[in-house]
Amino acid sequence: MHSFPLAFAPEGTYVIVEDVKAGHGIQRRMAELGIVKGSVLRVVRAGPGPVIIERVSSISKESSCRCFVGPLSNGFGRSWRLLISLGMALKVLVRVKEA
Amino acid sequence: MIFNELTGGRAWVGNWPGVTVEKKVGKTRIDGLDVEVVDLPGIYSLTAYSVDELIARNFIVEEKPDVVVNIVNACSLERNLYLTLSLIEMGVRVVVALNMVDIAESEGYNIDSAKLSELLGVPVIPTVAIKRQGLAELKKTLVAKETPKKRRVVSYGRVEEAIEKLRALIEQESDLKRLYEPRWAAIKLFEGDANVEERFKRIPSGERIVSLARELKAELEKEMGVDLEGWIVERRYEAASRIAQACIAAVRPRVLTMTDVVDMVVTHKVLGIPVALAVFYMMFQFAFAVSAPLSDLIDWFFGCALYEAVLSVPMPEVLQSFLADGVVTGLGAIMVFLPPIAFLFLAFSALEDVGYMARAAFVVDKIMHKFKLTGRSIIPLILGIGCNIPAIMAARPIEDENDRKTTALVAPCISCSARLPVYLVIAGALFTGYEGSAVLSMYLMGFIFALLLGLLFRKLLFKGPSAGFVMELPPYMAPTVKNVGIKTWERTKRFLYKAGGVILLATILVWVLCVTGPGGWLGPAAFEDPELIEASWVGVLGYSLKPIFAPMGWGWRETAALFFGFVAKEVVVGAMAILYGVGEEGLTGILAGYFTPVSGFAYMAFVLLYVPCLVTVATLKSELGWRYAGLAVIYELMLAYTVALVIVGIGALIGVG
Repeated sequence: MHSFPLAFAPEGTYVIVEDVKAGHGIQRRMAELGIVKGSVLRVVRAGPGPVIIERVSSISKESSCRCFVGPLSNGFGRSWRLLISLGMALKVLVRVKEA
Repeated sequence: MIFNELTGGRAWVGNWPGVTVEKKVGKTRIDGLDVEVVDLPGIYSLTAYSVDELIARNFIVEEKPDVVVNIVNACSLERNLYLTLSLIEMGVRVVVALNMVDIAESEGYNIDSAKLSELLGVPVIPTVAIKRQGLAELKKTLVAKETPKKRRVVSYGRVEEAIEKLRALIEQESDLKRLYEPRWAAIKLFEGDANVEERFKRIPSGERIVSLARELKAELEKEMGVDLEGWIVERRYEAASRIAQACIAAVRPRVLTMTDVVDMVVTHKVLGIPVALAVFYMMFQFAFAVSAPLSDLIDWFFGCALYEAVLSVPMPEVLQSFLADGVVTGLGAIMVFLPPIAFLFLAFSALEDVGYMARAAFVVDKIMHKFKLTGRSIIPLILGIGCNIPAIMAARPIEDENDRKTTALVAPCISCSARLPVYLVIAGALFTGYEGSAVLSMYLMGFIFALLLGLLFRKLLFKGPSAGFVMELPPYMAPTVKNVGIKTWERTKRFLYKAGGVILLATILVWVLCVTGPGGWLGPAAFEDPELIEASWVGVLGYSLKPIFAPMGWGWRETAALFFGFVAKEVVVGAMAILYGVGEEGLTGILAGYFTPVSGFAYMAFVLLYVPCLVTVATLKSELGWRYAGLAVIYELMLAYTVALVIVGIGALIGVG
């Protein structure tokens, strides 16, 4: 499965974050907002360009606990919506999550 | 808002992160105890990633407050708990105000605050700040003697051993121990926190600890095959997630909310931009239309009533002129702009509270990206149409340093409302029938140059790609009168403070330059007599600068008037009136004698782009320092001159003027 920048993710799809190609500061900031390797995101508004995403869950590969699902994933994602600018969305590599 | 309720004072919260950009201090009494309340910037974490976070963190580390009220948004518990856990880790006493519980309930879920308190080991008070619910209890908890509970400590599994090793070392250093909670500092060192490292390195033993931390970190990273920094963040996140999960009970599944529906239109690919244009157009329309009668009233008050009143009181001529032509005129020049700016702030604060600004940032982000800026820069630039000063200040919450500096630096290119009177006079005199297009072209020119210069500065001065930004899209909320009122007042007040002093001083300086000349005292008659003012310092200035502007076909009067514009750009109009020896009403009639349409258009462009007014320069200085303020002055002068020259050149080429 090939990965591509989040900026090009189609609307309505679920994607898994593969990598955040950025410096430490930005990587951290993204992590703090719940976007790390393994996070599952729903693309609410697609680009190509800036995107609006909903964080569904985070399944971390390196994590000792294999999986943790955000409580807001059961459909309570409203205020969990994040706006990711084009500059940032180009740095987040994702792949489409199979249903 | 909780801050306001606690202190009965005034501060604001905005419906987008990073609105409180300075810490605010208020005082209150709770149960007979004097309490000092400090409002810190709204932040996501304590990483010191943005200026806001640094302010907040430094405050907690250095000032060691007795208690930190952590306002947790019940609508995004998991993300907010991340900050809570970080605060607990810092070793400060934390009281959680679980805010917006009503919205969470309407969203379809409940949060068990007792359980949350138990899991975190700190008091949790559910509140609805807008309705003042839970605030009395919050106050009580703040001053109550807390029975120590076991506070939730995030466990870092395999890294714990290394953390403990460092912690023990830090524990022995009294200097460091006084400043930091040892465990927190140890964790921060593993996270590679530059600020903490820097502080440690100030003492020799601290330096040793830092290098030991680096060794341990490298070892662990090799062993675990991960980037430790990210791993630590993830553990903290995971803990936040677990706690949140345990406390949330779903009542009913999510339904389509108002926010969802509005967002469908507002962030639409095609509709988004027209909607944004319409919203901002209405914002200005509202601000200018509503404020116009007030401005006229103030203009009349200072320009006629007070002016005449000063003249009618018997006193020495010098003093009289100083008061009337200097102080009253100067005050009038600022006060006229007060109503439109206050109303602009009002509309802006309302939009911000509703939650629209974050959407606007989304809509324009793609365009701004082409100019190497981000959507976040649009808010300052839009505000610049009202006044460049709040525009520069509004750049502050932009996280990326390069983005922030660039935005502040190009903001003076945006045509502010002070420049409008100049356009109106010139366009009215020279472009009869096309005034609207002439004026509009200035606004467009301002935006285009702001973006182009942004691109230029990004390429030359602030190299490196834009980090972009991530920001939460808040749910739409009805603005409350109180909150919007407070914000409007605070912003207007800040503008007044900034503008007041500088403009007054500058007007007095200009007055002195008008009533004196190389030949000595000329007297206030200079304001009435164009020939006398020719002999003043202003006249001398106009004459000496005239050769520079000769290619544009401007005389000494036009040149001298520009000098006045440095105080505040609208003063150019008044200055012209003085220099030509006519009233402001008479200007339209005579300008055609001094300008051709081309030289007039060049003049308008020059007024748009040349040195920002004094207050803007002062604001740039306080935000970015002298170097960048100086740079702004120089680049604007060069740009204005070049553009005016090009306009005249093109005019000559195509054979007009």
